[in-house]
Amino acid sequence: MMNTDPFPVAPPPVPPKAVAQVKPAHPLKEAGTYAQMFFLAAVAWAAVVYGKTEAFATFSIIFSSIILEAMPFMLMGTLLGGLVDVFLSRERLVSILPKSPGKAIVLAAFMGMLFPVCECAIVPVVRKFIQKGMPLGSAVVFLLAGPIVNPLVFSSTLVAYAYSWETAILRTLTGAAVAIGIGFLIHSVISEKEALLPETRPLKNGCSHCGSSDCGHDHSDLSGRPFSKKLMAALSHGALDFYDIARFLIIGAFIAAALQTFIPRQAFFSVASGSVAAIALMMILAVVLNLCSEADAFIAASLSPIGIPFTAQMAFMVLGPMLDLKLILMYMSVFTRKMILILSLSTLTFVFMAMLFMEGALTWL
Amino acid sequence: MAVKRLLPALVLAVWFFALAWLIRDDHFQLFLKPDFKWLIYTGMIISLVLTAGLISKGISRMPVPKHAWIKGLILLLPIGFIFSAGENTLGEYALSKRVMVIPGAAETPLNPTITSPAPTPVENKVSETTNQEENQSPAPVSISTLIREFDRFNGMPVQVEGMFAETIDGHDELSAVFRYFITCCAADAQPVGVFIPRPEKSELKSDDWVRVSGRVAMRQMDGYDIIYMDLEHIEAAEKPGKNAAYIFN
Repeated sequence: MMNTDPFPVAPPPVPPKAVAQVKPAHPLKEAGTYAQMFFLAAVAWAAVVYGKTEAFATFSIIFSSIILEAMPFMLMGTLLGGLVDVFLSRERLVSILPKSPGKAIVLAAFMGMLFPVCECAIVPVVRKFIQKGMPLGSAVVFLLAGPIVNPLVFSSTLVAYAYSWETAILRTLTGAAVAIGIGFLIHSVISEKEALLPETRPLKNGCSHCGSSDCGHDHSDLSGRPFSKKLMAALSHGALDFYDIARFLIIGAFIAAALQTFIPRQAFFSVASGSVAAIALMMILAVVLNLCSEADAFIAASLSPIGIPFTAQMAFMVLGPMLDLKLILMYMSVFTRKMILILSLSTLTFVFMAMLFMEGALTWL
Repeated sequence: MAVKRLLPALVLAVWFFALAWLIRDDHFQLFLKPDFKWLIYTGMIISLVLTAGLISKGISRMPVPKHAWIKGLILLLPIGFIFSAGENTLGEYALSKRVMVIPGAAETPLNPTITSPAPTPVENKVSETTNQEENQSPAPVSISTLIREFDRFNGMPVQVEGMFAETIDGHDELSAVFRYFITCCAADAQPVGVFIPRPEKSELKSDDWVRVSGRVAMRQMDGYDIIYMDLEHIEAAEKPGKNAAYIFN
C-alpha cells in the first residue's frame, strides 16, 4: 500500500541485523565533519581572542556583506529546486532528450534553464538522471553547465556586474560551450562502465538534496496528491536543501572574506601581473574558495577594482561552478577515480583555453 | 531528537528575524547598497515560506538532518558576525589593505610612493584659519564629485569631508582623507579620496570624520594619477550619517 503521509511520524525501527550491516562512513566524509567542527571551534576562539580588533570588525563587515548579498539567491535556488523536485517529473524531462548523443549533449547544456539548481544541489540530481538512463555525456554536460546556464545564476551575475548584460550572457555562453566540449570528450574517451561507480544503482525513491532514500523524509510518489500537499512537500525539500548546502557558501564566503581582510590587494598583483597569470590565479581561487554559483559573481566583481582582468574574473565564474574542492568530494559519490581525474583535468584545460581565446578576442576587438 | 527536528525551521526563523532587523533603520546599508533592499525582502519572504513549509506538518513529522547541530551552527555563524559588526563601517584598517585610486584613471594599483614632487609636511596648520591664496574661498565638494569631475577643481582650493587615515603604509609623511566607493556591497569597497601631508600636533585619530581644505592637484605616484591636496586647514567634523563612509554607485 502506498504511503500517503508525506512526513512519516518517525523512521521505521531498524532491525538489529540491518544495524550490523550499516556501511561505515567514508573516511573523507568523516574528515569533512571534523573539519567543520574544527572550523566552528576556530571561529569561536578567534572571536574571543581578536573580537575587539579593527581587523576583526573589518572581517565581520566583509563577511556579512558577501553573505547578505548571496544568501537570498541561495534561498531562491533551494526554493525553486524544491518546487522542481516535486512538480516536474525528471523522467519526463529525460524522455524528451533527443536520441542522438550529439543533440542530447548540446541540449543538456541548457537543461539548467528548467532545473535552476546550484552546483551543490546538482550532483545528486545528475546521479538520479544517470540512474534513470541519461547518457553519460549528457549527464556530465548538465552537471557542468547546469549551475551556470540557469536563470538564477544569470540574474545574480547581472546584479553583481551592475546590470551588465554582456557579462551575464558571456558567462552563460562560455559555460555552455565549455561543458559541451567536455561532454563530447567524455562521450568519446570513457565508457559508462569505466566512469560510473558500481554502486550507482537506480534508487526507487531518491531525492535531489540527499541522493538517497535514508535521509529521513518522504520520497514516495506525490503525483495525484492535492496541490497544497505537493507545495508543502516542495517547501520542505527546499528548506532541507538550504539546510544541507548553505554551509558551503558560508565557509567559502568566510575564506574569501579572510583573504580580503588580511591579504593586501597589492599581493594579488605581484602574482597576477599578466592576464595569463591572473587567469591561472583566479582558477586556483575558484577551486579553493568553493563558492556557490549563485554568489561567486559578487566575489569576482569585487575583485575588479584591484585590477584582476575581466577574463580572469570570467575564469573564476566559469570554473568555480564546475570544479572545486567540495565538488570533487561530491563527484566521488557518482564517478570512479579515473573519471574524476579525466573530468577535472579536462575542465581545467577547457576553461583555461577558453579564457585565453576570450582574452585574445577581446584584445583583437 | 525533537530539537534536532526543529533545527532547520529554527535556523530559517532566526534568519528571517535577522533580515527583518537589517531592514529596520536601514541597517543593511552598512553592508549593501540601498538599491538592494529588495534582496533583503526576498530573503525574508523565502525564509518565512520555507519555515512555514517545515512546520506545517508538526514537529514530530519533521525529518532529522544529518549532522544537524554542525550545519545549524555554521548557518547561524553569519548572523553573529552581522551583529558583531554593529554600526561600524570599513575604516583605516581596510584602507591599509587596499589601494586608493581614481576610478577609471588606473587599471592597475598604486604603490603609494611619490616620486616627484615630494610633499612637504604641514606645520602648525591644524585647526587654524588660513589665508586663501588669491582670495579664493574653498568650495565645499563631496569626494565623489571631486573624483568624478576633477577637471573642474584641478588647481583650485576645495573643501572636502571624509574619514581620516593618519598614516599611509610606508609613507610617514602622508595622511589621507577618504571614503569607500561601493558597487554592490562592502566586500567590493574601493577607497577614494585625497592624499594630504601628515598634519603635525594633531589630536585627530584614524577613522575620525574630518573636514579638510586646500588646493588640489593631480600628482604622479609611480606613474599613476592621484589627487594630492596642499593642506591648509583640517578639523574634526560631525559624521553626517552612520554609512557616510560609503559612496554608493
